[in-house]
Amino acid sequence: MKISFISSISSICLCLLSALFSTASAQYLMVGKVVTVPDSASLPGAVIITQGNASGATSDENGVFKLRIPESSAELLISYIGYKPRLIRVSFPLHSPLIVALEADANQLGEVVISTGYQSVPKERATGSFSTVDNALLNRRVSTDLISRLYDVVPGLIANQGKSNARGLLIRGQSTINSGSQPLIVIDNFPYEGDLATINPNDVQSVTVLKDAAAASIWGSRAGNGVIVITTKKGAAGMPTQISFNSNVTFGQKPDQFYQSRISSSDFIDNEIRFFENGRYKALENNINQYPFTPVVELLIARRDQKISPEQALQQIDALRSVDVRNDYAKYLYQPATAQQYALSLRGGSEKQKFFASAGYDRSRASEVGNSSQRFTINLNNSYTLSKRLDVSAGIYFTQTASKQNSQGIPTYTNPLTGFTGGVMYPYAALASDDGSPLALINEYRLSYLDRAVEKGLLDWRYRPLQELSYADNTARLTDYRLQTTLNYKIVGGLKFSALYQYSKGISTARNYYNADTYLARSLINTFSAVDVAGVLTRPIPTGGILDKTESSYSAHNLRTQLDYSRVFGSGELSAIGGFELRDLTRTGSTFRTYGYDDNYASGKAVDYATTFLYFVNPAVSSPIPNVDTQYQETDRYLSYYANAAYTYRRRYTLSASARTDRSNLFGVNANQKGVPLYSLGGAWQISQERFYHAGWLPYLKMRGTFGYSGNSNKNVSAYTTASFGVRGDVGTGAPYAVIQNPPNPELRWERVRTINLGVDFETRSRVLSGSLEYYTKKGLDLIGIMPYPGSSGVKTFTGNYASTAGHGIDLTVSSRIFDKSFKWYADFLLSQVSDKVTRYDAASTSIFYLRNGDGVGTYPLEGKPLYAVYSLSWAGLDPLTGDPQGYLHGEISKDYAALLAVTPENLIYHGPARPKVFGALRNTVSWKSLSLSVNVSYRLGYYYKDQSVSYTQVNTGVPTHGDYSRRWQKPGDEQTTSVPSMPAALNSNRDSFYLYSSALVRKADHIRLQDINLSYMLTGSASGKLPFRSAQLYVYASNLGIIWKAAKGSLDPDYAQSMFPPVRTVSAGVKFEL
Amino acid sequence: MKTVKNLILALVIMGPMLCCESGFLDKKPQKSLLVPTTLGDMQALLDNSRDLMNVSPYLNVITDGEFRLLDAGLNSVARVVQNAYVWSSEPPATQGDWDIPYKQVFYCNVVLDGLAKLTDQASSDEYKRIRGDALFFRGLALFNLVQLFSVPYKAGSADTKMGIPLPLSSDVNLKMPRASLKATYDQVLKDLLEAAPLLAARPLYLTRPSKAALQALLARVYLLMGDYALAAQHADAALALQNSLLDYNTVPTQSAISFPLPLSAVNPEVLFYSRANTSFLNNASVFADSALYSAYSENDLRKKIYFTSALKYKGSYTGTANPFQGLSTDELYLIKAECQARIGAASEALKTLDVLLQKRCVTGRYQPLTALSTQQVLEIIITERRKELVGRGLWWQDLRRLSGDSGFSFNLKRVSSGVTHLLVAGDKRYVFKIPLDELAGNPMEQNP
Repeated sequence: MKISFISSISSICLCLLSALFSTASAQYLMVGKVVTVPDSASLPGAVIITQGNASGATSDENGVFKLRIPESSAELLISYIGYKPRLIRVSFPLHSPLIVALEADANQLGEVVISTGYQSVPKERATGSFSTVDNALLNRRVSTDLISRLYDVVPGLIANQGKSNARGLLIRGQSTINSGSQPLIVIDNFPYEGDLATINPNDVQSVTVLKDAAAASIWGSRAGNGVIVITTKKGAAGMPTQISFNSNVTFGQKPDQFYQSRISSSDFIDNEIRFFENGRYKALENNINQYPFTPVVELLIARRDQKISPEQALQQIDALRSVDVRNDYAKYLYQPATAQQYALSLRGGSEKQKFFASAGYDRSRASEVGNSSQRFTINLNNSYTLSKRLDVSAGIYFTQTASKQNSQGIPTYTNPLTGFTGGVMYPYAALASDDGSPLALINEYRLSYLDRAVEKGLLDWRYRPLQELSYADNTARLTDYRLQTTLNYKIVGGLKFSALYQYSKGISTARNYYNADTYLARSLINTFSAVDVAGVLTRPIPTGGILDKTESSYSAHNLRTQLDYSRVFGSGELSAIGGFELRDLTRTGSTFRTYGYDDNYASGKAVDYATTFLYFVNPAVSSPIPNVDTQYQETDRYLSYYANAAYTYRRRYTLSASARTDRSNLFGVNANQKGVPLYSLGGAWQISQERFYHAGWLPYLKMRGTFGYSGNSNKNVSAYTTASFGVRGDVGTGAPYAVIQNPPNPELRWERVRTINLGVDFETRSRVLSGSLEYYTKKGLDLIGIMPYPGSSGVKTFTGNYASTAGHGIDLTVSSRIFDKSFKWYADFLLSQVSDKVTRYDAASTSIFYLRNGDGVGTYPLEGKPLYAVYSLSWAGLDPLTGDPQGYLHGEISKDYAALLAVTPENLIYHGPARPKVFGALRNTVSWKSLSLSVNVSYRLGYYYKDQSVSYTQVNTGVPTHGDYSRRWQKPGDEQTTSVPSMPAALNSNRDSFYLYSSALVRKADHIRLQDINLSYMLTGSASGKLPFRSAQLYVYASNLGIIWKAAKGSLDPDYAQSMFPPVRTVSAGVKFEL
Repeated sequence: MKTVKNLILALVIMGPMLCCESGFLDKKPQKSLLVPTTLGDMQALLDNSRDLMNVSPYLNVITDGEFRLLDAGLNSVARVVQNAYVWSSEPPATQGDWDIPYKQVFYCNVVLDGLAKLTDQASSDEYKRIRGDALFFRGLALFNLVQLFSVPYKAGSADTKMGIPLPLSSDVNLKMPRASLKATYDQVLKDLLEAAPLLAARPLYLTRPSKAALQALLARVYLLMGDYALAAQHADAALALQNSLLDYNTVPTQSAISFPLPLSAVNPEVLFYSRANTSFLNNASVFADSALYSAYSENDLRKKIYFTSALKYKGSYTGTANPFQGLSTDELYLIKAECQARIGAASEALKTLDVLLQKRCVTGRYQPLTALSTQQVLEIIITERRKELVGRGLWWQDLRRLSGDSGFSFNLKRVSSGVTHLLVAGDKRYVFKIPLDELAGNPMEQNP
């Protein structure tokens, strides 16, 4: 009903249009429209050529094309990649509008239009490296965030999650050292500055990943890490209104507290007894800092002081041996995660108007008790055709996220043997009594001392972690919206002008209220309290709660004006764009704390931040009241010009070029003035279109190559001279003085990445095999690095554009249709190989930094090696007589640990990168009738990680060390079965370091993982005939299913060797209706 | 239709221009960045006195032969000091006496480049004074460098000898080659002469330059260039502004440090404060050379004021253990006297010297000087320079400039760890080697 109404409107319009044009000239000017079968959606980019003479046209974004024809009749060939071409005879005048419906060709590549954020290009004409993730593939995964849906489906893209500094989303390796390595995220034509978690994946139509210079260099100085272009759903002209509803629920397992090995409570207690007997705690008992003692030590003290009998002490200590605090963590601090998702959308359009509207609601509960979040999204966009030349569109995308961050993490205490606060809790702690009521744990001070403090009038000073969890009131709200408006005006022929403007703003407010009963509030008040000789108590921090409020926001203006030109010249097609762009991004933030806060009246009390107060516990220490108030404001401004052109001849040869210049307030004067463009050149040859090409088994074969530069900018360096004032005046004169921190760098410019990309796209008959193979090289040039500078410059080191990297790799995608009848078996195989290394970095560090941080924990570049690499010291096994670790010094077995550690960086053993060199996935999709099963197996190869192990320095300082403690060498012969050194007679930190940095603990990280499984059942309205919807899909999805194979022994997940636990298994179930 | 087209044209063409005009890209990326832009910021950079702007080279104090380092103390000093002590020709890996003056030059360049952007305030007195200060500091730093790393100035050959790199912009990426010796002195004079009308008559602090300090520095520069007429002229100009001398009869001889802190108490002789960047003279194993000590007569108060009876030095005008290397009136009298002698007015020279030496002698015991020949007068003056200006680095400058003077010949000798080291007049080691880290980052010709 609706369909016929709309189509009749469009028929009338087209009729009028054709009539208008056909009388306008002696030639016949015809107007037609290309649509798809069966859904009648308009098909942009279709090519219309008249047979015999060489005039032609391409359909615009509404599928409409115009063609000038000299004869009164003509034969038109209408074609579009992925569709069966049609030959149509028309004679003028036309009595009805020409609507050409093209049918999808199952034997050809699917319709792929790649969006660069500036234009849409049919994939067949592209020269660069693009990967498109279509809607179906995006929806295969169930998640509340979008980006994780790209994992294991885009060649060259990898998310390294488990490692501290080496983590992050990377496209084709890393071509920077000190700047951000994350790809630029573009949503609906503009870079997105907000939190990616605000994007509702249900609103996303498709994602295009731009990987090489030809693809990305249009984004200029921010494209060096690749670009992820997200296109949200839009209405379509002539599309009947569609309503869709998607809902699912996800359950996640409770994290495994026992994932990382740890010394047993019993072994830990034995060491505490030993330390006690050696008198290690004796001096600390009278320490002015009133360090807390663990229950075992307190029992031993009580026994010594004859407050309890030796038998009682022994009995109570033995009872603690079987207690493991991790059971309590699992019971009280962690929970199974859940997530619910609801998404409703409406889309459709007439000839004059297109619309899309959606609303989404997500709520999730995290694995940590007390943490949860809710997200609400609204998306509206509309476009109107105001005249035949002018159309405008406007959109609003609004999201609001509210989250609770009440989890307090794992409790800690001040370890008396190290004196450090935040020490790992002793392993036999208990969070709750048998009836579940919160227990007090030691934290900063001895319990007996706390009792005395309370007697003097101080607040209760005990620390009950479970009570803290119930008191916590830490909430955050994030509001993010984008307003976008677009104007398109067809000037003449193929020339089009467009102006786009977007305003986006994100406001994030966090409110952390520590009520008067929280430990933090009580402890801070007590810390600064003072009792004078007369017993009078003063409290510089007033009693009551403490409120921390943090607000941060960004606002961005983006303006773009662009001219598009596309025209068919004989057998050639030219499409070009050019424009300028302006960006202004401001970020502001502030944190304010209110002491003595009473939530009932929203009132606080003033405190004296200027005076230094003595600490109650140790009056030798004093400090002002902690002032956490901060404010900042940052502004990024860019002014850019860009142009891009592609010329395709006879649909076989395509040449492309792009250039962009960026100027920014981040760059130096010279870089801005020179305005050196980032550019690319590319070519493609569709061999299968050649007359000489006769390989019928391979109907599609294309080769392409590109070369070009894209950039990356770094906000931590400044083109300006920056200075700081001395805290006090000059020593001699008392005059205020300033020290230059950062010399001016008028040469400061963006980092550049030079990419060469060569690719082959192929497809066999009936798409039994299709895919592409790409080889690329990437060079990171002018990277920000530290450079020793000659003294005559006035500075000794300088942070500037000095470093470089080089990388190369292969991306292979093969899709196979093994069976393609009613039983379908499709397989998609991705393989990426990437090697990157630092080729220049002038500031070298000493070996200990590479050993300590090389595992991706810190960024310590070493020339000739990958940025994150695993290094070690040579391992010569354990001394069979003593169990001491041994290494090789000048080829000889040695136990001179200081000398072993003093090797120069070039003499370290280099194992390999800390991030995968080869990675990919194999996705098998089997479907029969309406039932479909898809299994994704991912693999990562060619990299290393470091296992953790026992540190006797930890043992000796009462820190719960690694569980390898029980595997330590204890008697001659043990060296046959273990490489864990014996307990040393005297503490030797070099011995510990040598073992922990030795190759004995380096493991191959290679593994294969069953990433996820998706099972779905599709019910279509037409199948049953009596269902109230067009289609319904029921699906079940499970992810993080486990490791199938790994090279290293042991229980650790190689990608999460440093993590507390790996990502949990999740199972989701959902349904999706189309009305 | 026409209007729409024009509008589009305007947007495409004018849009970017509009935003450039209004300084769109000049916005500071972070508000918290202190980008020195105001006169107050510039002043604060030049007032970084203790650690930078009022710090002078120290190698000259170690190499001038006036102090002895016992073998026992050899290992208590840095390798670069050990090498300097024995006049080693081994180039140092890095050298503070190269780096610090260049850092001063850099600060001056930052200030001068910053001032160039504040043209709207160019007529204010404060602006002029700060500009004058920066020029003075730059001229002084370059002058100090050329005394260490280039051969002494000789008018005839200065354009064929190597000077030092002359960075005159705050752009640290500009790697400057070595300028000729003449160009170096030309730059020093250019900076100082340009500063002359801009400086304060009475600075707020002695760490800042003044008109008198500038004249004193010019006198020193022209003396080193052998232009005695101009040196005398500037010494006179300085003395016309300030000629006060401290009567050493009023200086206590028992103090650990004889002179007051000039920045907080008054020392009437100090025109400009600067300290050498070393505690070498304070080292427990460092003592004055006995030849120097015995050069003072018993009536010469300096003997007891400059040294303890154990020959430890305590006579710095910094009022601390750091040697004084600033500018003071006593040096002006000596410059004036030498210039007078050089231009043939030997008797006037002695009269000038009498003014100074009277203040150094026990009251009533001073015998006015008499001499026979100009050369003898000169010898007296040079000897007095050596005795008066102890620890100021000026004796090293004198050794260098006089090594080509037919009338003088100084041969230094010291024994360290049983090895005898000699430094004869004209030795190439009178010119220090350029540090290796400079050559690595900015290749240039090394000194022989």
